[in-house]
Amino acid sequence: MPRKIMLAFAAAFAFPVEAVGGRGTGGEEILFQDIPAVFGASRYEQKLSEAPAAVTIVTADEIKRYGHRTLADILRSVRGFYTANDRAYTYAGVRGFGRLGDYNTRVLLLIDGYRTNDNIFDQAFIGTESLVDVDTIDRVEVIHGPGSSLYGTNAFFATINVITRRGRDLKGAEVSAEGGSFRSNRGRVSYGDKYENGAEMLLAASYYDSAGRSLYFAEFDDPATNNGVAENVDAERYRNFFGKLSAGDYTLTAGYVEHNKALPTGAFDTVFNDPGTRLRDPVLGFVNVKYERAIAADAQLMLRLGQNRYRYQGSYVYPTETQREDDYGAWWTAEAVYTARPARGHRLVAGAEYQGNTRQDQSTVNEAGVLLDDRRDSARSALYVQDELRLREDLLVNVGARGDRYESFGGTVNPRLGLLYAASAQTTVKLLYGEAFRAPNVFEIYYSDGAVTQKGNPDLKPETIATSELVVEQDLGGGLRGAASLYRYTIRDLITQQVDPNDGLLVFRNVERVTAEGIELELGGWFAARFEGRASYAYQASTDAGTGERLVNSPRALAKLNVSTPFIERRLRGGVELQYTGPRLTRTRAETGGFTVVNLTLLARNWVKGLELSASLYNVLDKAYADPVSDSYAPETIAQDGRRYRLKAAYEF
Amino acid sequence: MTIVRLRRLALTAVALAGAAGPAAAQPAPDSRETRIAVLVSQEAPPYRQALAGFTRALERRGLKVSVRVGSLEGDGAKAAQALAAARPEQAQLILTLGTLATQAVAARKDLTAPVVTGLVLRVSDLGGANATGVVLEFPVETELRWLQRFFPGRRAVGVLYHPDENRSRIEAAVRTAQALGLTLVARSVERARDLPDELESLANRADLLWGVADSVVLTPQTAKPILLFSYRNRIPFVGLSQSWVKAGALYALDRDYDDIGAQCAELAFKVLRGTPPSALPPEPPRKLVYSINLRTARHMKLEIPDALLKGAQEVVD
Repeated sequence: MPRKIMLAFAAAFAFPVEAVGGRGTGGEEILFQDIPAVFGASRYEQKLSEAPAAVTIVTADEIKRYGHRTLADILRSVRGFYTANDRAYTYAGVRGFGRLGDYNTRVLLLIDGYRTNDNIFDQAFIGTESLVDVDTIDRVEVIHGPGSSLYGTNAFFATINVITRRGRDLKGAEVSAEGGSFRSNRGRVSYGDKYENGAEMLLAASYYDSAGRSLYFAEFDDPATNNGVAENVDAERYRNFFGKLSAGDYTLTAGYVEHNKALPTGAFDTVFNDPGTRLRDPVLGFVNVKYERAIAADAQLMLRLGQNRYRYQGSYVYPTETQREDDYGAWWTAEAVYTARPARGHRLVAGAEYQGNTRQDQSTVNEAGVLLDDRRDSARSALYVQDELRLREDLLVNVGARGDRYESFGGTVNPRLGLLYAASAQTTVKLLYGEAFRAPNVFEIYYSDGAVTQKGNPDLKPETIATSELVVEQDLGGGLRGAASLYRYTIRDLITQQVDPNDGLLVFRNVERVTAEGIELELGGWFAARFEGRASYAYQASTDAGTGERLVNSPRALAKLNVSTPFIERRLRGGVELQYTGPRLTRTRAETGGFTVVNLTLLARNWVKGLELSASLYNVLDKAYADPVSDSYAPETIAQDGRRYRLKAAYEF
Repeated sequence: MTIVRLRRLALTAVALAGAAGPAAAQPAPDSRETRIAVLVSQEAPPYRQALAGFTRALERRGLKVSVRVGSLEGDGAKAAQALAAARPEQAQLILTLGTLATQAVAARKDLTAPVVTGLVLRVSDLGGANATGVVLEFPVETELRWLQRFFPGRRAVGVLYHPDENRSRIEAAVRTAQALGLTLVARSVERARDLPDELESLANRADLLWGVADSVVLTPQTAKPILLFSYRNRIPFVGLSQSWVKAGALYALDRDYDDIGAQCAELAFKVLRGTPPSALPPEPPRKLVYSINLRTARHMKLEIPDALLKGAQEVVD
């Protein structure tokens, strides 16, 4: 679906002046003219200036060059993004907002334009639990800012569209094997091709396991709890599968991931260092079929039907009992998108979506019996329309709105307005305003464990965000591009977990209001002839509008640098990644130190036909740092990994 | 004497610096010589090569000719000046090289000498009933057969074109493609800014992208989106010339401009011997060369047969 936002405007400023070529000077000149080479150009650079949003694209090449292992690694290299890990999940923070305990509900994760946030927690899985192996990714398009006017709920701070590889990108089989610190191993088999009849297929399967590491927690430093050392309780395993088959106007796509993780942190007051506390989350799968074709000279229709399953199973060992949670979600989706140029100067995108949640079940049991057995079904539907109107050759207006209807809280309408001005062939100025929402999820509305710790709140409303943004994009020549974003947002009715003073139970309520301002600067492309990369700096100030206090887990500054260069006739490439994260407040408003992590990757290609080797060293300087975590944990922060390595070999048949 | 003089004139034509200058600067014709007026659109290498080939071929024929050259220097406003230099009204044959030059001569209704034209794209660019020549476009069938040589397994041929310029060529290509077992997936592009949408519509429908000479669709300004689309989607683009191949097209058929000049000289010889131009159908280039970009081939995981590599005029790597 980001094609809607990217392609609907793809031509916006690509040709601000109608190209006249050889007309008037002699048509044969087209055969004689020098044509600029494209090898040094980003394959996607056009999309950046043409989209009515600030966009970052990370390509498969970059993923290899910097040794990225997960979607979280990729996002950490993107301006304005930071992550936190509590050794259960990886959480993305965006533009100074990284609420502790939030399961990535304020970013929308799409795979080939298909929504993959689950239907119970609305979680975007970005760590090792991600639905798509990084080796199956062709590129990741990060659309910064609110996107609900096209995508609905969760497109709050950003929309992340993972574009997967196609059969034609493989043209045969590939295998890869890797090993790294903490006895981590991963294997992958992929096959893809495009056949003479035009059909195209991609199949990819991967398996990962890791013994994890020993961890020390001062809060548990007692002989009764192994002196605070968690041993052999950090293991992790996943397997995933992804497949895509295209023939004619139809594309069938399926994905599946099953992720298991032991919890070494004594989370939720469980027995510390007990191997029985673990997650099987997610077990997530989908299959969809898409039909896409031109229905007229200037009109295109896309129809898609999908089926999805999600399961979360958690086992939590307490001194006298073991609590088991088992949530199951099943839903189907239908969407239609019509794009057309109904009149000169207009480009229209109109769409409809329906999601039928046939199962949204939550259950919790322990030895004493059933604490929660909540079975739900629901539906939501949406209509949206967006028009791009060319007012002048160098000025576009983009206006759109989407109305969503939920059975739980009713309706919401989210508009968007963008002015795109091509100040020159090199400079694009974008003035953007957008509103977005996040619908309360089933967990927040209905989770209640029988008055033990938490109760539901059927009166929850969606939280909303309004963002204004000024973006300037500049082609600096020689393959170098710069971008600056100045933004301000206000979040209202933020869904926040509180203790109800009447009964002492946790409950989610729409209570808080947040305001933030920030600036993001980015420079990317080629420099000094042989260096390629991206550098960014983000300053963000987000505060609780009620108290005026700075938000927790919100670094004021983020700085990133990714640079790679080839050696030895392009057979070897070195990639360096530096990421600075400023100090963050913990939940008790203590401050974690700022830190810089340096990662190095060497990538060897073209020594033996089909063979690719890479060696990565992460946190080369062995910097000690910790991420703030929610009050589900005894510690306020959890230490992150020090120096570690990965060796990887991939072979194409 | 004639040969020496022709060589000097050819050199003058190559330099062309004074070609559009005062007519008096050029030597007076010998009355036994055949007077040929040459009008060139501009002074770029293809024009120089074609003119050199033309004069050289006439030398080989042993024809005594006097050649006067005028150049428009790429500017239609300089037609009068160029015509004054070439003196076509006194010529027994006019050679025009390029569309501007051809249009300038066609606009002079008082000229009666037969016209031989080179370096124009297509037959419709020739200068009327009293003209023949060599066009730059290869026949559709030739181009499609080369597609099949490079991509024997690929059938869906994507092509973008502006309807005003290329409708008839595309209609012919549809028929020829069908006869050859290919399917032409043609997209009409009215304005350059519509190009990205039309390209995207080919992403899952075309096995390769065939470039046809078109002043709206294929220009230095549109080259980047087209080549990036090709690169991104691993759909090889067949360019228009060696320059397109260097920029990232997989291969391109190209012309030997010196030989096109010689081919024009053959037509001119026949005309001067009395064959009316209307009896001489316009010809495509008789000599075909091609270039290949191996870097693009590697990116697209395409194996180029050794025979094709060996036959290439240039292999870019």
